[in-house]
Amino acid sequence: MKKRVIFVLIIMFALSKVMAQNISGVVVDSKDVPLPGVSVIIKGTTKGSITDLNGKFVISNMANSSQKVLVFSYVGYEKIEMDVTKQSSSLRIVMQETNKGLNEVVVVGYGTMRKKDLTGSVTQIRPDKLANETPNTVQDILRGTPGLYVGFDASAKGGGQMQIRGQRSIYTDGGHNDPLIVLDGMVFYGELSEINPDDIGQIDVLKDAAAAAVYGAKAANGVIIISTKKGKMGKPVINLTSTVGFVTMGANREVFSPEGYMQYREDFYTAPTYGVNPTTGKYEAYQTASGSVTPAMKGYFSRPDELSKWGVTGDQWKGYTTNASGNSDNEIWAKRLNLSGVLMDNFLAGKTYDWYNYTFRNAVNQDHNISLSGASDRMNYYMSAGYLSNQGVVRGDDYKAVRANLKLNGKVNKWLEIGANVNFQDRTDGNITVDWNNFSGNVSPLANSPYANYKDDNGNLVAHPMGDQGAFKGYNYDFNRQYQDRESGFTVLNTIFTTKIFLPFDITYSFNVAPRYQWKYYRYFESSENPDWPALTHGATRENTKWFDYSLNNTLAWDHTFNSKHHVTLTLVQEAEERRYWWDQIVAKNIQPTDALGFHEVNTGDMTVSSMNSEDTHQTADGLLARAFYSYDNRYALTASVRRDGYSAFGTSNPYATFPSLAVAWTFTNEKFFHWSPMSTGKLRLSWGQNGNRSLSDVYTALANLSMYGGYTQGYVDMQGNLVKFKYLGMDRLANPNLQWEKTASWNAGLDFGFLDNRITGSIDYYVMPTTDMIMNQSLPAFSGVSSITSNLGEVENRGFELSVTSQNIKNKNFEWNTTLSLSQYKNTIKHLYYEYVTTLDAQGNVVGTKESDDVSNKWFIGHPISAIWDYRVTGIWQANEATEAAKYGQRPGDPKVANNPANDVYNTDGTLKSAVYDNTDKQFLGQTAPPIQWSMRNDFTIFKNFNFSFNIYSYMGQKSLSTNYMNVDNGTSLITNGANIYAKEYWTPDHPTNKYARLEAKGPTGATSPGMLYDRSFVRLDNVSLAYTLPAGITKKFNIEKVKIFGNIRNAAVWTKDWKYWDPETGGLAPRVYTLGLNLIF
Amino acid sequence: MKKNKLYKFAVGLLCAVAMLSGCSEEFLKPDPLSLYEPTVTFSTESGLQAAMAFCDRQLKTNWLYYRAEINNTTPIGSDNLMSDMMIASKTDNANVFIDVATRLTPTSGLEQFTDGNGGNSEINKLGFFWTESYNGIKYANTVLSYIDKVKGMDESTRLAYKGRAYFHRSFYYMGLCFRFRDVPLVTKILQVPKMSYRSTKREAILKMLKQDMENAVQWVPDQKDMKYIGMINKGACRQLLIKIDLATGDYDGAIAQADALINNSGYSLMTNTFGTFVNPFPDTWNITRNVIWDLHRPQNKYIAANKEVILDMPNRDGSGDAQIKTNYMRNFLPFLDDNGTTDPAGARAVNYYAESDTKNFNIKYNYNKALGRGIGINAPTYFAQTGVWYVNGILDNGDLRHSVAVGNWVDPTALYYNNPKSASFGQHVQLYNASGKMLCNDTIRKWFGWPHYKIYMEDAVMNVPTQTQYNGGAGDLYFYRLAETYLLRAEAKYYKGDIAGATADVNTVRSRAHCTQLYSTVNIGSIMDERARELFLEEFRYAELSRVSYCLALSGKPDEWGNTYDVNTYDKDAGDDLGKNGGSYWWQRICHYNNYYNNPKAPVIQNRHFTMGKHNLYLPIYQQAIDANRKGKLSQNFGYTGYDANTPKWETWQEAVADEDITE
Repeated sequence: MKKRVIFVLIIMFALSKVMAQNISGVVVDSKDVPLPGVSVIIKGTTKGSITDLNGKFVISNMANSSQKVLVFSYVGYEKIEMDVTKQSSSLRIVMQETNKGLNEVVVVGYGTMRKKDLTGSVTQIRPDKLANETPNTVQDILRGTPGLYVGFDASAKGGGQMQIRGQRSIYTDGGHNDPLIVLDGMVFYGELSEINPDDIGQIDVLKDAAAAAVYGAKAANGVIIISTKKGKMGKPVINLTSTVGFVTMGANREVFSPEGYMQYREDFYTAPTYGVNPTTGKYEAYQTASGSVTPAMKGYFSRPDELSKWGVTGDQWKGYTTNASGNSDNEIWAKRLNLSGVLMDNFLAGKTYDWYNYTFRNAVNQDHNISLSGASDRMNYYMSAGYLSNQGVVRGDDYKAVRANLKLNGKVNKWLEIGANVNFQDRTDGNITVDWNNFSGNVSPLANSPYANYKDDNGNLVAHPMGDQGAFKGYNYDFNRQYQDRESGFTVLNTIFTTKIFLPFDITYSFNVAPRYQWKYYRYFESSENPDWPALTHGATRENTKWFDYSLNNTLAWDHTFNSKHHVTLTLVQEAEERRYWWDQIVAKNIQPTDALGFHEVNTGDMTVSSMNSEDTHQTADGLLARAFYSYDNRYALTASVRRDGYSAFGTSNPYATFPSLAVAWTFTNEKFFHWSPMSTGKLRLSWGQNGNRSLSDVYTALANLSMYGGYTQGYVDMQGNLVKFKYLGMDRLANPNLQWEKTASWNAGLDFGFLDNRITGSIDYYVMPTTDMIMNQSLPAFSGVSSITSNLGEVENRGFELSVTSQNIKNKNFEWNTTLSLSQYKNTIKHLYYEYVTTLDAQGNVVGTKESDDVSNKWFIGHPISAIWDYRVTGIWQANEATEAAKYGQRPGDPKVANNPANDVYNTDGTLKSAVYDNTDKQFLGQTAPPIQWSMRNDFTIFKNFNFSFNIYSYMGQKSLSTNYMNVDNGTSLITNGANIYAKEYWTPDHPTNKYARLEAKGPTGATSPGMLYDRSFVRLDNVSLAYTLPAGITKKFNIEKVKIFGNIRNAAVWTKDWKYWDPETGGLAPRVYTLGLNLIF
Repeated sequence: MKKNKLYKFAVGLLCAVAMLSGCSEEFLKPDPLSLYEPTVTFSTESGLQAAMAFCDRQLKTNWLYYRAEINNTTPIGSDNLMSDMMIASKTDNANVFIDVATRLTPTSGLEQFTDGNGGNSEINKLGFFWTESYNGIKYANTVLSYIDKVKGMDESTRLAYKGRAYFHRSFYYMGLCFRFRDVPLVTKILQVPKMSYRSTKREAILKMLKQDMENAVQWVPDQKDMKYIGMINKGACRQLLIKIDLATGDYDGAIAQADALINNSGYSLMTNTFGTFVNPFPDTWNITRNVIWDLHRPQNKYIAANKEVILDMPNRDGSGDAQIKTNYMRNFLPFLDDNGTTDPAGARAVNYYAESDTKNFNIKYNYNKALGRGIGINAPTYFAQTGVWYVNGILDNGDLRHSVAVGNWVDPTALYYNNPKSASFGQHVQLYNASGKMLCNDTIRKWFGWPHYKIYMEDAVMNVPTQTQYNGGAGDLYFYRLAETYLLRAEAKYYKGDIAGATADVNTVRSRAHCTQLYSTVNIGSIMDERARELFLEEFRYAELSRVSYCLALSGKPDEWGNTYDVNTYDKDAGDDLGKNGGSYWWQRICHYNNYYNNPKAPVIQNRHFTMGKHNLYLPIYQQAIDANRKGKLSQNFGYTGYDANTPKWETWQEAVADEDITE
């Protein structure tokens, strides 16, 4: 490439001719299709033009220019420089599409690099390629990136937690394992929802320490660099995208139908009567007395039309209880199943209501975005506005956001460039949704009996669907909603101002500052007009929160090439940041004389039950960075950096830490001796670096403090008999003046490859990342006064490999098929905790060595992953013929069998088992909850140029979890006694023996009362299927529209899993499926 | 020219960089804004007052738990189920805590062991007595650690603070010593973490408490010289010292303190009605005014006319963040509003209709508000309901504390069927129908009598017309009252051999309650029976029985069955044999008076048997505490996994205190 340019230059100087005044021509792609919007610039100047819709351009006054070379550039195509000295005035330029990736510019922090110069492990994502999949959030774009874990958020807002290359630290507070987000070169303190996926130009994920080291302080978990779109040279472009989505339940866990509900209740009350039939020896119902039901009362709880099963007559059955005259059989039955009041009336009348349907809904998402962008030789602009309105599948889960972005970059003169980037967002945050999963809190409508009332006979909403009597009166969201009001949300102004000065000797200086304001408002009201809500405990809450954060940096960069082979870049950065937070809260209760003004008036609240609250924080940090890059002849490259960071949370004695890094790369395919023709590109990378982590639950963690313990008061009575309240304070936390940075080092070896003229490209990385001086809550004996202290201890190591391959499988004129496959696998190991050692003994009790102590109370074990599951192992269910054996464990058929270590059991003198003991020595390592293996595959098809079809699959494998759902313990809070409904479920009965589910109200042996069963949570998800059709340019141009695209997709189209039955395998809860239709217009 | 400008700019810039890094030491200084730093806050008296307020608030949580909107199970109820008085009775809970002997292990059974903010166990709150005792000790140690650093405080005020802190600390150590025996002794606020504790022998801890409380009695002023009710006063210090004297064998000391309280401190038993007469729902449940009723109204506990109160715990209903709801009715009343108890016509016997339920509500039968709604979390034993009220073989009908006639005691049969649609409406509630068939399917949980005068607490917050769960609101509670002083003095006299003196003291308490039966001579059993009658829900029955078991062994005196106990072995007897042999005095009372535990005739609930073991005299030291103390070893109690008689313990409290400074 370079050689060619030099060659052209030589020719240019050699030939000196009179040339045409005007140069014109047409630019086409390799398929001879005209390319509009290509920038055509006279080299070394800012003069030039843009091709029109037909690919045509005209450059006037070429003769006046000393330069005779035209530069043609267009995103996604190889740049062409052409000497026009002896060319005819009408040119035909054929541009080639960019040779997959290698010349793409990658953002590496405080600068950019060509991908071929990279020494670290960086993955680049271009959201434009995913546009047809209508990514709802930035997370949707990133899902499937190798080495990046992205969670699934089922709410209307969406999103999801992210982790790069696994959890690095045991500490989890304060987003401690979250990657650092950088937006347009500046550290981003907001949340990803603030960034409109439509505005993103590219995302670079820095995974190894060397790549991330320039961000030192906060980069231990990797860095995600988001660069927003810029204007392109030429006329203003308007881009309009509108989508409408239909949201449905992608995962279901139904509650019992009315029939199932009654059957469950029958089985629930029958279960305690199970016992061994003394005559037959069989294990069956009505053998054990339960309450007033004696074994003689066969079929006591049975449906009246199934009595023959129990061999009793209707009269016998009725005679078990004293019944009021005129009681029907059904009434007697339902009463024995403890139905009464409303439930009884509706049961007898056959009146039912579907509360599952009431709780969940089919919802609609809307997303509309418009942008205007363009560029001239001195000015580049991009502005956009978007409106998003999402609904979740849970009633009341609504989310709205308005986002706007204004980005300007101007060249003031030869040496000064100034830019600004202003992001605005206003979003709702939180809403009054149905608390569907809160069965024990008595607020889930799913727990309402199917015989509960939604409205009364007059059509009014009822306060208590299950009747006014009793402990669980049911929950009617719609009724309460009449007495609630809520406004809450965020307003965010995120700004970046940049100044760049070009100094002599290839030196640039830049000054960047990014102030950010964020306001949160929260206003909530519960009216005492609701007959259930006493004024003393209900009223209004108003909160205001403000954040002001800024970071600034001064950067000096020197970029120079010697002898055309030695390329050196030197970067020096000085950085400072300051973050402040203010929070005020007013809680007014018992608002007098009336609370009719809702949360708009709080000054008449009763001061004895109202409260005020506030909290302010302040933190500062600074840093100094030096980085050097050197490459020789496009073959060898080296990057070295050192960074020194300070943070106020460690300010007592260790505010500073130094983080170095070193990385080398060798592009062996550029060597003269390399002649293997199938391989077109090959580069080996090796890097080492260290990064810090400072995220804490509280920036004052290192200081001792006092807690108000919930802000309650102690009331004394004075001598006049009046109550006098005293606020109290108690010791909360020990000081740790030695708290300091947590450090993650990282070794990374990688190979970037390209085969068959780069039709197949990809990379393989292997890494080892030990995290040391972990910030962790060391547990202490709570009786000493403190139960934990935050300190630097321990070591966790992550090691793993990542593979990603992109292949152009088929590339014909009318059919293109590309596949991207990525696979990553990692192993997480706790290497050290507290450096406390215990001696190990051999069988004879001799000391044979020492080993480091585990932290059993936190379930952290040396040599095991952080997410290790260490617990009792359930091996099955005691079956009917094992009653005697089960009894030895204090259990009965239908209870879970728990693997027992006989060594710690208690034996009688004759050696028989007296009692089985379950303690820590019975627990086993059962796997881990974090997925060790992830893979994803994307396939894109282009058919007849106008149709794009793609699908994306991702999968997490090897993660497990314990669940006690199978235990069927539903009545812990008397829900069943009180008539509540429950998730439809299977359970063990003598007639329906199973090894997967326990009996109703099962129990484990003493010491392991509630043992979880192990489930494999591996799954494969068809994440997205999309189809797009672009109208032929010939048609759209007639209407002066550059592009019209119609697209549709299904998100979360399907999921496959092994044995997990409780909602979605990934979320353990809801997982909506969204069908989206969209339209994209470009003018 | 242009270059010159650039040069100037560059120089200016470098200076800016240098300045920024130059002031960075100051720039990075921690800036705590909304944070109380202990050393700063506790350097003034007002700061220290906040620490003392925390101590005082913690006291009532021993009864109520500290966070109580709706609370199934209370600490006081969980304590009592380990005694002759109560059992756990939420029979529809698969984990109902009745199989104590097998359930209580170092890894199970001590519910609510860790910080309660995370959960709220419905099974029991026994672990609370470890966790929150040590928290209470921490709050007291905070005062003791900082008091000498407060400037400008006069000596008597300083000593009063110290004395009060000693009271709090000693109260918790007394509970720990008799529920957990040998425990780690913590007397300081840590500066650096410590994980190398050893247990300290109970005798050693008791010696420290005696010294501390003797000082406290000197230093803490009398209530009449104090500004506030609810702070520790001299009387309370004396009362606690009596118990410590009894546990250290100083009977004369105990009697001297009791004499001081009874004769010279301005206290006297209330023998006549006084204060406000509260008769909340006379249409439903009328009260005939009497001294016992008035004595136990929350409104009368703190007033000057009440001469019997030694220490009141203010807990005023409707006082927002200063109140903790008792939920007493919810926890300690039978679960009546349930289909399990029917009238002879088959309808639900007792219904808690809301006032807004105009179809069914009847002011004559407003049981929800007049008595409260119970769900039978803890049920009384037969002994607590009936047995203990027999004195000299006669059911004492005069005893106001058990009188249905005046309205102090409620028996289900005193209620009326209140379902207006039922044929039995308005008739007296009965347990059996005419043909002798039982009308209640669960007499443990759904059928028992209760002392209305102690349990009834009005609830301002729940007082809305739709409310059908009148659980029991907040209300002042007695910490100490003079009636107990009489019974403690009786105990001291009994150990000393002064039976006549002991008898007189017990009879004084009985006379006040209008009992017709007085004792001619008392034994330790009579004293403990009288405590059961007088101090129900005021005393921690389990901890007291354990204390008396130890005191009795120490005194060498016999119990009511003639058993004597060896102080070295009384708590080292294993098993749960039904022959009522061996074990401690606590064990004997469980066997004789708790009609459930180990009783082959007791029902099986949720496939669980009522069991109690001799070793349950003490609760296990929870494994979590043992594990967290990684560099030391705590001693486990006899009878539990991990017990080792040879575990080293501190023999004196001075050694234990000296060891606290050794953290590595």
